[in-house]
Amino acid sequence: MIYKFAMLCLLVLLIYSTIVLADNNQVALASPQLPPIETFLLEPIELKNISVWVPADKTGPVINRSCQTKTNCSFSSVLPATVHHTKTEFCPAELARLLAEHTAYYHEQSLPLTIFNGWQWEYSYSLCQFESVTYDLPRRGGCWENSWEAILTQSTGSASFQWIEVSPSNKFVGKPDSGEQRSHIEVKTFNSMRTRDGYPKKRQLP
Amino acid sequence: MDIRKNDSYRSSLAFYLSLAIVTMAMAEGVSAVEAKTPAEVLIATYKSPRVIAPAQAKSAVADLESALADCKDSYLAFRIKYRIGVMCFKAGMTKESKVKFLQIANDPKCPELIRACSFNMMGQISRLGAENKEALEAFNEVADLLRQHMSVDKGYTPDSAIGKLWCSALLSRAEIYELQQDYNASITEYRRLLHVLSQSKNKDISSQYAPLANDRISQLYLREGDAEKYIQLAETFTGHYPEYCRTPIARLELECVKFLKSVSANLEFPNGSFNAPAHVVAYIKASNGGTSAQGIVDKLNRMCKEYQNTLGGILLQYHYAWLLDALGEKHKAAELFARVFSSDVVDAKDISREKATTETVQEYAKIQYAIMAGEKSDYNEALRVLSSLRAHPDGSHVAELAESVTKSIQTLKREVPKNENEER
Repeated sequence: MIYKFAMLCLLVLLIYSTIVLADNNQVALASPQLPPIETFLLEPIELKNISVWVPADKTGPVINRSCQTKTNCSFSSVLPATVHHTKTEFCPAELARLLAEHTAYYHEQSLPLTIFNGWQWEYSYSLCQFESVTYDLPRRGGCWENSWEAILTQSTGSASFQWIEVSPSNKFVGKPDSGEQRSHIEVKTFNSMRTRDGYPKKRQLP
Repeated sequence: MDIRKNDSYRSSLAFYLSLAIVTMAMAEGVSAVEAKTPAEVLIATYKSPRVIAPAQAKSAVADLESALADCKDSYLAFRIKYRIGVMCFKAGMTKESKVKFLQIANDPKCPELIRACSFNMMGQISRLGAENKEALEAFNEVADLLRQHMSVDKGYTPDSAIGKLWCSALLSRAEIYELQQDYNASITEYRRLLHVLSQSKNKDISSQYAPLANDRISQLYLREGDAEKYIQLAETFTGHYPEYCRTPIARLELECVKFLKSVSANLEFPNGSFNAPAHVVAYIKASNGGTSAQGIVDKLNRMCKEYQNTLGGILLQYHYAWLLDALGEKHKAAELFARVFSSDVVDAKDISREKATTETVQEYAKIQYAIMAGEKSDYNEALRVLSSLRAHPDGSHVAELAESVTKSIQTLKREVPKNENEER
């Protein structure tokens, strides 16, 4: 009885092992379909430049109520250049640097390309355009007021990449996560600063 | 007794023997399931997240190298080698990655598509590493290898993956030349791209790249000093692509370049046309207006009406307001500034790219409007508009300007409550 039972077990398990091995042989013989080829693409650099007149600064009215005339009063106006450059965690540093290089071309007259951390354009001096004026204030209500205008050049850009999948059947384009990893830049510089028409205003207040 | 003992011995022996065989068979079966074929190792690397840590990538590279040693299939071997290059790149090992792609690309037995992808990877890595000469060569190989696939009769239109790869290679070459200020070479690459796009039956892909390439070519002509070709091309592409996001402002820039060239033929535009509208305003301010400006004023007026409530239209109105201000038409200018900052944008298809520009001009429009209201002694209106400005970071130009203008208006309101702002 035990002998028969043992033979039965042997038979069942041999059949099982044959099936498993046959399955594996099948896997080895017929290769599964390969996925498409993945390749990396930089998207075209997106850079939008505008150059517009803006109000640059306004001061006064500065009023002199004292009995003494004030002469050679001075006022300085500074227009700050700003660079705001970021990248997402997994965006390659080299891509962010490339974006800065493309943007710098449009500001090379006013701003040096100063790269920190291997990729980031930082500008810590803040000075883009400086204007200094002197004025006199008559006594008892002498008043002075000024307004400036300047051309602002603003560059707003981004750089991103995409992994696309290419197969001989040529059915695949892009991946849904494209564009998540990117670098952004915004640069503002000023030039052509001038006093607005009608200013400076010199008045005598009551 | 002996016989029974003998039977029992035999049956036990048979039982243990069968157990041993079954155990061995099962063990063999299990190990066969766990051992992956080279193809399976390759496929497994695709299951990793798209962004992976260097350690994960290195482990995948080790698996792939081991699979490569067992691989007998030539095509599969090239796929595995290519994948090793990709995983090295993902791990930040760009040198190793580039060496791998170079080996694949230079192997004459390599299938064409894998070769093209390898050249593409070499080009991208070189470009990122500022090795522009190598990048240009590699992208040229990509373009040459895939050129035969780009003919329409083969079905590989630029909307396909291969088409995108080909377009990307040419755009990369054009951008590299542009950065090197080799404008003629850059124009040639954009023209190569346009030639293929013109054969595409897919209008979506054409409208994605064609206006961009035309816009860039026109700018390159202007930068290298050929204003005539710029004018010719800008007129054509703004007419062909009215939906292109830069069309409204490109039309204004075109008119401004024409105007500036008419008043000063030697004027140059080394940065392209984007600063032409500001230069027109500067010219009018310096020359105190005059009849020569009437033509451009009329054109800008028409364009503002045409592009009302669009992102491009807001920028047009802003320039127009400054133009009127320069011509001394303060009242009309103030009305336009008010329209700029209170505009609701209907056409917001391209809002992410244009948002920063629109916000900037709307904020400055508010401040300029407040200054002009202050000039008319309408202090309450000026302060109302100033109080609606968004919060800006401390030290930013808008924040400091808003503070100085507000202080100025408050002082005027206190000291000159009546209209006493005329010079005495």
